[in-house]
Amino acid sequence: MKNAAPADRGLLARYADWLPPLLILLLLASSWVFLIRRSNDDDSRAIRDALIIQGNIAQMVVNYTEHLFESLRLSSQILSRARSDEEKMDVLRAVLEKNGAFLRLMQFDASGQLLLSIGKTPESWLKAAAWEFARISKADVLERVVIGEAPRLEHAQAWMLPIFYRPATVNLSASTFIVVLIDKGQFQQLFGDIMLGKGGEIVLLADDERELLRLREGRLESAPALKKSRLPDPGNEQEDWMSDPLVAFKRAPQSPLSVLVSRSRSEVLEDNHAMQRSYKGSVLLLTATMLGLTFLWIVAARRRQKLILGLTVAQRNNEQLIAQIGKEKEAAYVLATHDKLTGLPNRMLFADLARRYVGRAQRLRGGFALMFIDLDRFKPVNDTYGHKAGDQLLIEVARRLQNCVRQTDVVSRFGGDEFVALVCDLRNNQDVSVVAEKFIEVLSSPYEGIVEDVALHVTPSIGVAFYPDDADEIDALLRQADMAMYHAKEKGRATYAFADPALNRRVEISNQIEAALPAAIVNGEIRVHYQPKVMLSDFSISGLEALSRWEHPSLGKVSPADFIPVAEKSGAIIALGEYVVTEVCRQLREWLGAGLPVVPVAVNVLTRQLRTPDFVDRVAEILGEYGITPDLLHVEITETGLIGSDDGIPTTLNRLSALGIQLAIDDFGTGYSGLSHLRNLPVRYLKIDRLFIKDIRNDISDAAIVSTTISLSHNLNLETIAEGVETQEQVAHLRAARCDQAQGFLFSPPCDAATVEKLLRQRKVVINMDGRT
Amino acid sequence: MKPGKRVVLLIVALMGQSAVTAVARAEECEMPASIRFSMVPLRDIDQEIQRRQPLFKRIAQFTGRPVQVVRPTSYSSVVEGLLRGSIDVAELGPATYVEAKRGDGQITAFATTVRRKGVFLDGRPFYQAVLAVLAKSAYKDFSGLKGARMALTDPASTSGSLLPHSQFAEQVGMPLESYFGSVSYSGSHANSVVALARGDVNAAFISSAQLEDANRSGKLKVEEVRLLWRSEPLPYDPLVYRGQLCEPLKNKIQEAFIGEGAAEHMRDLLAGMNAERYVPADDSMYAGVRKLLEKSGK
Repeated sequence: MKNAAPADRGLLARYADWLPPLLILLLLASSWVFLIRRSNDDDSRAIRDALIIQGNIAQMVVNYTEHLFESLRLSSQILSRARSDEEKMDVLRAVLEKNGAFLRLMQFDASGQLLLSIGKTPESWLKAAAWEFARISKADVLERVVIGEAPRLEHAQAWMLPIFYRPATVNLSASTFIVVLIDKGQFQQLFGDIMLGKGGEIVLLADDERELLRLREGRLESAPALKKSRLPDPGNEQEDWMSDPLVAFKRAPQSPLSVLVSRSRSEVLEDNHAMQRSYKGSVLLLTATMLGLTFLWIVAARRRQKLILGLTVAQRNNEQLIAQIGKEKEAAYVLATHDKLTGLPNRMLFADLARRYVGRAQRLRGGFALMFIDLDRFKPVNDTYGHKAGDQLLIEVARRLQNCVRQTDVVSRFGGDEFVALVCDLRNNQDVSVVAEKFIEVLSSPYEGIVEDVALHVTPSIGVAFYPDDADEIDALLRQADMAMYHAKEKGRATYAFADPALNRRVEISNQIEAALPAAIVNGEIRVHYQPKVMLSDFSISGLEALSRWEHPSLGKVSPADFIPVAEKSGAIIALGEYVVTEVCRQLREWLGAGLPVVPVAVNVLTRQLRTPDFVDRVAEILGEYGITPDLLHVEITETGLIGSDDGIPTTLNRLSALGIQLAIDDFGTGYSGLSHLRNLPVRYLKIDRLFIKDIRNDISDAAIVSTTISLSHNLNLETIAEGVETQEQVAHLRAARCDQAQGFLFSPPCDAATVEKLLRQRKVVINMDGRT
Repeated sequence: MKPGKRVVLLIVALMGQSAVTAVARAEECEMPASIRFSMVPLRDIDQEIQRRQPLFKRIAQFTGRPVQVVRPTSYSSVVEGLLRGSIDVAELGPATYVEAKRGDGQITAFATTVRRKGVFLDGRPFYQAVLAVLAKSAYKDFSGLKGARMALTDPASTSGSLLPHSQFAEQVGMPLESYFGSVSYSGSHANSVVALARGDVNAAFISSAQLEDANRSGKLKVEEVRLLWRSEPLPYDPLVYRGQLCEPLKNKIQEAFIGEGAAEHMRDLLAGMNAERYVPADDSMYAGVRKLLEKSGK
C-alpha cells in the first residue's frame, strides 16, 4: 500500500510527459491528412477543368472538319448541277479561293477518269488513288468518303491530305466523284497557337484509326510511317480521368474522323504541384521542427526524471551527511564546552550561559546568585587515594550538586576542585543562605564506595555574588564570588560568604542568633511585650498584640525582625511560638486573677507553626492548662503566609476557629491575596499594613486603597485594624473611612506587662496634643 | 447556326459573283481586275503583309490595279494558287519556284533580293539551309543529334525541308524520320526559331537568311546558336508572276520592283530583309536548285 501511491503518481507523471508529444503528433497527422485530401481535391478539380477545356478544343476542331466536309459535299452537289465545264471551273475556283484548306479540287467519273481539274495536273499517285477509289466504290450506291494519303517520299506534298467523295447515287455508272486536297498547314495555322503545353497534342484520327495529322506543341509531326492510334470506343466519348496524358475525345458526326486533344497530366497539375510542393515544404518543415521539439521534449523529460532521481539520492545522502555532521558538531561542541570528567558545562560554556542569564535577568528585572564552590581537603584525598579516587569524588560532587539545583540552574566545573553554580530567582540573601547551606550539607556528607571501606570527607567553601547587586557583568561577578569564596575559607571550612561584607555580618549574626535562640527560649531571655489596639470610636482598648522581645547577654537587644526569620528557618519557631502562647496565657491568668478587665491577646503565628500537626492541640492544651477561654486568644497570620499555602493551612485555621479562637490577617496589602481569597477563611480581623497608613494623608492612592479595603471588609463582615497609626490626621482619615480599630505609637508602643496593666485599668488610652502618649 | 451551314451559304452567294469576277479566258493573255499577291509563309503572315504595304501601293501605282492579298496557309497553297490562276504575283522559295515551274512552265521569276553581309550571310547572292542548335546545348556536331527532336519548317520549304530531306538525309544515309527521334513541321522559319529558342526542339533546319533576321531582331542572337551543318548554297527567294498575264502588265509589275525609285520607296521593307534593292532574276539562277532536287530522286 505504501508504494502504491508514488507508483501511481509516477505513472501519471509519465503520461503527463507524453501528452504534449502525442498532441503534436496528432496535429501533424491531421495537417498531413488535410494537405493530402486538399491536394487530391485540387488535382481532380484541375483535371476536370483541363478536360473541359480540351473537350472544347476538340469540339472546335471537329466543327472545323465538319465545315470542311460540308464544303466538300456542297461542292460536289454544285458541280453535279453545273451545266457546263466553264460553270464548273468557276465553282471550283470560288470554292478554292474562299476555302484556304482546299489546295485543289478535281472531278472524276465512275471509272476513275479525270473529268475536271483546276491548276496543277494531278500527280500520278493521285490518279492511281482515284482509280482505286472508283474501283471500290462502283458497287456501292451509298455515299462514300475515303481519306487518302500522300506518298511518304513526296516530301513537298507531305501536308496534302486527299479526300475522295462520292455522294449516294442510284446510277452507279453515271456517277462522278470529287477529290479534294486538304492543306494540313491550315490546321497548323488555325490550331498551332493553342497552348497545350509541353507534349500537348491535337490529333486527327480517321475512322480506320489511321493518324491523319498530329499537331504537337504547335508543330505538325512527321512520322516515319503512318501510325495507327487507338481510337477510343465510339460510344464512349468520355474523357479518361486517370490516363496520362489527359485525353479529350470528340467524334465528328458527319465526317469519318475523330479528334483527340491531349495534354500532359503533369503539365496540367504543374501549378497545383508547385503550390503543393510549397505547402508540403512548409508542413515538412513544421513536422521536422515539431518532431525535433518532441524529441528534445522527450530527452528533456527523461533527463528531468533522471535528475529528480539523482536529486533524491543526493538529498538523502546530504541529509545523512548533515545529520552526521550535526552529530559530530554536537559531539565536538559537547567536548569543547563540557568538562570531560563530570560532564558538567566547562568554564567557557558556563560564561556563555551566564551571559544569557544576565540578558534574561535584565529583561525580567530579576536577579540570580553566582556561587563559587571550592572543595576543602580535596588535595589530601587525591594524594592519599590517588587521582582515580579524586576523579570519582569529583564526579560524585558534580552529581550531588546537580541534584541540589533546579533544572533552570546551572552547575559547572571550572577545573580542579572548583565548581560554580548559577542559581536563579533567589529573592534575597536568606534564600541564598538556604541554598548555600544545603550545598554544604549535601557535599559534606560522607562519600562512600569510592575507596573500599573508607568514607571520604570533603567540605565546600562557597563564595556568593549577586547579580545585579554585586556586579552586572559575568567576569566581575565571578571575581567577586571567587573572592567571597576565599573569605569563606578564611572563616573556616564548610561555610559560605557573600561578596558584600554587610551580608556576611548579617549571616554571622543570624548564625549567632540561631545558635543562641534555643537556649534563650529555655532560659526565659525572650520576654513578651504587648501593644494595645483601640477602638477608633472612643480609643477604648479592644485588644493586645503579643510581641517577643529578646535581650541577649552578649548580642544585646535582638530585633524580632532578625531572630524570627532565623527561628522560622531553624525550626526554633515552634518552641518559640509555644513559649509565647504559654506566656500570654499565664499573663492572662495572672490578670484575671488580679481582677483586671482583660481584652483578647493576639499572638503572631507563622506558616511553619501552622503546618506543625499538633499546633491546634498544643494551643488548646495550653488554654486549658491556664483556664483561659479561647475568645481571649487571637491568632494573627501574615497575608504572605497564606499565599500558596493550601497545604492544610485552611484546615488548621478552621480548627482554630472552631476552638473559638479568632483570626486576624496581619500586614494586609503587602501580599496580593485580595479580599476574595479571605472569604473562605474563618477570619475576623483585617490588619491594614502600616505602609498604607503612613502616607494616608498625602497619598491619594493609599487613601483610596485603605477606604476601599475597609468598605469591602465590612461587606465581608471583617473588622479592620489600622497598623502603625502615629498621627491625629491618620486617625481622622481612618475614622472618616470608618475603620474599626487602630494600633500604633499614637496610642501606645509595645510595652511590658506592668505598663499594660495600667492601661487596662484605664480601659482606654489618652492621646497627647503632640500625638504621643 | 452550325459553321458548316454558314459556309454553304457563303459559297452559294459566291456562285453568282464568280461570273462577274471571272478572269479572261485562257487562250488570250490575262488582264485581271486586281493583282492577286501571295507569298510563302516565312514569318508571321499578318506582319509580312503589313510590311509590304508600300510594295502593294507601288504595284497598284504602276499597274493601275489594286493589289489583293491572298493569305497563304502553306507553301503548297501558294503553288496551287499560282497553278490554278488564283494568284498572279508571289514570293516563293527557290524549291517552291522549281516546283511551281514544273506544274506551269509559264511561271516566271522576275526579281529577287540580295542580302547584305551579316553574321550568317557573306554578302554573295546565296544563302544556305543550316542545322542550328542552341549554343548552350551539348550538341557539338550533328552526329550527336541522333534521336533528338528536330524541327523543319514547311514540307515544301527549300532550306527548311527539302534540302534536309535530300542532301542531309543522303549525307547521314537514312531518312530524317529515322535519324532523328522526332521530326515536326513548325510551319515557318520564324516558328522554328521560336521552337528552338524555347527548347521545344533540340535542333532545327533553318534558312541562314532567316537566322540572320532572327539575330537582327534579337529573337535568337548569333551567340545563342551553333550551326552543325550547312547545305549547298541556294539562290535567294524569287518573285514570280504567272506567264498568263499580259506582257505590259508583267513589265509594269517588274518595274514596280526594280524600276527607278523602287529601293527608296520600299526602304523599310528592304531594310527588314537587310537588302539594298530588288534585282532582276531569271530561271537560270535556279537551275542549280532544280538539279539538286532532281538528284535527290524527285
